[in-house]
Amino acid sequence: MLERLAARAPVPVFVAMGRDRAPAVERLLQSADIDVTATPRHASILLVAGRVRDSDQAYLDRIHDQLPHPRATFWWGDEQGDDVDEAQRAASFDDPVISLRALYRNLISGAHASETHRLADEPPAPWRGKGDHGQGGEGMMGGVPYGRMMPMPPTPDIRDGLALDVYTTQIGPFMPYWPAGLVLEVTFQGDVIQSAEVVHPPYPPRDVDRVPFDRLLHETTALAQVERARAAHHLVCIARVLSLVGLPTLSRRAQILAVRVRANERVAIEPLRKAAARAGLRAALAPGLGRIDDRLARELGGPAQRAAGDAIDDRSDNPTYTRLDFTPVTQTKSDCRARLAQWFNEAEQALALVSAAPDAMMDQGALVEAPWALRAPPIDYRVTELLPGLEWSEALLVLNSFDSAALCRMAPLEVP
Amino acid sequence: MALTGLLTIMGTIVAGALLLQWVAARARRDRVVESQKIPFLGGSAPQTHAWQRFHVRYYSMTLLFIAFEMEMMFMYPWAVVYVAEGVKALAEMGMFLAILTVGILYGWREGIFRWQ
Repeated sequence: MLERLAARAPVPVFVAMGRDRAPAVERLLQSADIDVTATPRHASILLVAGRVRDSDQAYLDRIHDQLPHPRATFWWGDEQGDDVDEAQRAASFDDPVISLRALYRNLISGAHASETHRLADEPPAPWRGKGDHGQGGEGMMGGVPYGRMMPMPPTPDIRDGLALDVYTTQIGPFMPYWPAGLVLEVTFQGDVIQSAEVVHPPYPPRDVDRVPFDRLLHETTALAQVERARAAHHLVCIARVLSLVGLPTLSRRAQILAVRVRANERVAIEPLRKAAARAGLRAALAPGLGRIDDRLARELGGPAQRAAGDAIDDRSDNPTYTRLDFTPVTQTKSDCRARLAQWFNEAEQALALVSAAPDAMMDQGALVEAPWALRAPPIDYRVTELLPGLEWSEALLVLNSFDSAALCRMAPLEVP
Repeated sequence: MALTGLLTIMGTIVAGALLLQWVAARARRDRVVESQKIPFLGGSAPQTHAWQRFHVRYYSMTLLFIAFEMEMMFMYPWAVVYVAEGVKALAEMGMFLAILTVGILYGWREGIFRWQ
């Protein structure tokens, strides 16, 4: 009886976002049947959406081991999990909710055995004290507890002269509100980021978002299709920021709008924008947070450049767009607020273009700017240069104010 | 008699605790592994032991707060005495506040009012 009731609850799922994950993943996360948890500790099922790099396998295994029993892994994507049970995988075009629910029910009832741990059962940073139970060391509180001195910062503290220890840790690659695949080694001084290094770059943007733009290279494509893809991409980015600043309902609205835009429905973005403004979105984003200089904005291109005030857009030279009196929208401040406003404006503009010319076709190879510029070379500026001096919450906002393509270019390119 | 009663209660508590522990150990299907004991870092593992010290930034603010807490504690009885003593009490409180103000100036110099 209790088991049946428990199995009817929303399925607690921790999502590890891989590359080329299904477009439906955002929709799945909004499903009432799924309870997406912030940490693996509250989840029963580890959902691996898309492919995972070989180098990320150990991270994935650790998250798997952090799930409490009973637990199971569910693979959602085409190229993974071929060797696992049918009940634990779905193709990327499938809706996995029914499978997830069945798997959860079986886990609860015991029909599906809980998975055993994958990593060796040993502490990652063992305590090497002298006592019988590993306690002790020399000095007060074990002043030399690891058999070596405690790490101290290389420079004296600028604020109060107390050179207390910095804390260095790796963070990523699978976290909510975190660019999928990105692993940073972050050094904190107190609650402030002192330095950061990229250990693994983020995954490139999903192929699915690129489809209309890639198609345009080879065949005649409708302007509406291209602009809808752009609006949907921006809406997903907006949804991420909204969720991060603590507006989950509005984030959900943005996700639903993105799904509807992709499904060729007529939608209006203005109400969402007004609701976000009423909810105090501007107050959540401090002015000047995540401001980038003009040089970086120019190198990044795309919405980030236009948020800095440069009206540069490949569409300005496209005759189909010039016939529609297209002029790029811009912002001036080049900070997180400006980039968010830019996404809103560009998404609205894209939908306005669709309404103005629903049947316009573009010739093969026509010059259209994608919502990102992935094939552009990596730039000589690391995302990690943006983070020092920020608190963690601010750092997350700054990271999420860029699309994944921009982040990819600000991190070293992946070695295949 | 009282001792017997006390011992009975203590024995019951200890037996109950041991029984609960035994039941909990039996009910647990799998033991906790090391990966479950570390903090969640998105899949990464901490590079140092949990006992590593790090800077708690709010400590100086806390010290200042405690200083002013004490000041307020002294001011309540002083407010009563002030009615009877008059200017003398005012001067004494003035000296006390002057000393505390030095603390503020010290904190100011150390940058505790700078919010990052």
